[in-house]
Amino acid sequence: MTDEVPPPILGTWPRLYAVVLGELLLCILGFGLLARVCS
Amino acid sequence: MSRLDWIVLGGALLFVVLWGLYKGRGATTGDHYIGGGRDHRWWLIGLSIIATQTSAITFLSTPGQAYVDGMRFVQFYFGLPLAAIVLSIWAIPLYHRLKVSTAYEILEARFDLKTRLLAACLFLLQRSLAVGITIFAPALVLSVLLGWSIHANILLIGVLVMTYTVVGGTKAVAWAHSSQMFIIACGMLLAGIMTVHRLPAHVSLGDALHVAGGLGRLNVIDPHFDLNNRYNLWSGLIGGFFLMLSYFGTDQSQVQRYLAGSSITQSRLGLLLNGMVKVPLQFLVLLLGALVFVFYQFHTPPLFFNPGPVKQVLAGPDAPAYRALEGDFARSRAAQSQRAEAFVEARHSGDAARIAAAKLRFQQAHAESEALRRDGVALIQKANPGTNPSDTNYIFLAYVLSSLPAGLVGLVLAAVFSGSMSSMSGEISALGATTVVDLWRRLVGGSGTREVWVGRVATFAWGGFAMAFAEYAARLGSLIEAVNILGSLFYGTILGIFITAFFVKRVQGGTAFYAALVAEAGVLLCFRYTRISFLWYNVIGCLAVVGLATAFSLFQTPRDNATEALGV
Repeated sequence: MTDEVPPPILGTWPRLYAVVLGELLLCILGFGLLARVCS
Repeated sequence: MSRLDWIVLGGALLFVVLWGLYKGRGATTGDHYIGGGRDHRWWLIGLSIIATQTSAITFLSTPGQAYVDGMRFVQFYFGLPLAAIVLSIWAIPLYHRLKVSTAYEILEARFDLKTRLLAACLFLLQRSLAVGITIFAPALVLSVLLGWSIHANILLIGVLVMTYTVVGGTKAVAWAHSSQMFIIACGMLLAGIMTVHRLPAHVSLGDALHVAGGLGRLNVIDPHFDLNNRYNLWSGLIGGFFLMLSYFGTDQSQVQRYLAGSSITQSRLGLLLNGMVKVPLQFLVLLLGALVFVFYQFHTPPLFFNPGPVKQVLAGPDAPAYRALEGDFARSRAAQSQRAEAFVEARHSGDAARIAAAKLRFQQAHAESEALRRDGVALIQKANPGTNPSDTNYIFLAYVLSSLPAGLVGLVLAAVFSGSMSSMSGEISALGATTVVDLWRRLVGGSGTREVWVGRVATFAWGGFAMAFAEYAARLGSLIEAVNILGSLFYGTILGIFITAFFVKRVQGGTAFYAALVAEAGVLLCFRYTRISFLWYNVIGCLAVVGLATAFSLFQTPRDNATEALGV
């Protein structure tokens, strides 16, 4: 079930979802790195 | 509080109410009142979603949590972006295509009326109790720290919120949310900047992070799997995913926000905006708490941040012992500050061995002062056996009142009030909508202007109930914590009903209803008899409904499959 209208940025919905997932991954890795560097 | 603080606080709250009233004018039908005209853009939807889940306690408790326990609480939100994606793919197109006003309407089309009413009533039950706590908790903190009356506080928040929510409905709520998020963002950002500014001149942000990290306050990620540990990577990703899936997919207070979107695209973008913003936002709020913790490494904090129980112990026979403990604590913290200074100086020298030695001494000093703090808490509890040993909710506001300049105190208080108002307005608006659509419209019938007035009466009644429960909550004591986890006791079951509706085609009518009742009983038994952390109840409840409904369906009488009517 997909929306026929593409999002106004990035062209397709799967790409937008990948960006959201990528940001979550970056957050997890970044937070982990911050804790490791500053502990 | 200074006169400037009062002007900032009063001006901000007045602006929110007038802005909500102005933007929410013109609702002429029930659909417009409940659906907000279905013309909202993605950014308004996103702000409204974030504001609804942002309560005052978010800003009172979260920084305090980082102060006491570190930043691991952020893991609670890791399931949110995953849930936003799943709901964007499956739920939003379905809700839009069926033109529903509440999430529970779908359940009648798929199963039957009693399953719809069960889900709607579970929502009304848990959300109406939770909204009372939403306004009670900050009122309690403000009353203790500022001496304001709890009753006046609850009345003020309730009247302000109901003024625009009852009159303007969903549109007024959404636009008021946008102004509240602006106030909250400004208040927290300026508080953060000022906290860094108030650190000693030679302590940079990098030094501050190392001070916080050295004492375990940057423990953001815990990769160890443990069912009894409330916040770790896996409880956040798996338990949090199920909780957020249920909260954003089936809780009317959130569904109503994105159903006001002008199209599937706008609703999706609004929900995904929340998915992208929430984790970094929560991280920043926790980081603010960690910075307050660093601030108090160079300034002496009170032994216990909640002044209420301290006054009680000082009025009793343990007063001399407590005074002596306060003196010991002040001396210990002075020594700790010197060790913190030495640690920062060692860092600036770049000598690894010196840094390690200074850090160890700093950690030892911290452990000594923490032991004194525990002794203080034990003394408080001895004097007042019912006292909550946690002062987490009081730390941030106590810091704001004692350390931030005039004007900014008023702005932070406006942010706290905005948080309380934003969650209350979103919730009573959703309670009113569910009452109108799932109960009144379905069981009594009616439309047009009359439905607007029924919506207003229902929203007003739920607001009044929330205020009455907030008043009663003052007498609940430790039960408040139980009410806080109430959501997780029901969310899994509600989510299970929806997942069964969408994806388990063979399950029909009453089967899902009875599976939900049995699953809910199982969740309540887990809560009563196990030590499983509450985030996992969402997983257990959901899987139990889906599993039981599938098993029960083996014994049901075949009938036309309604799943195809939903187009899934």
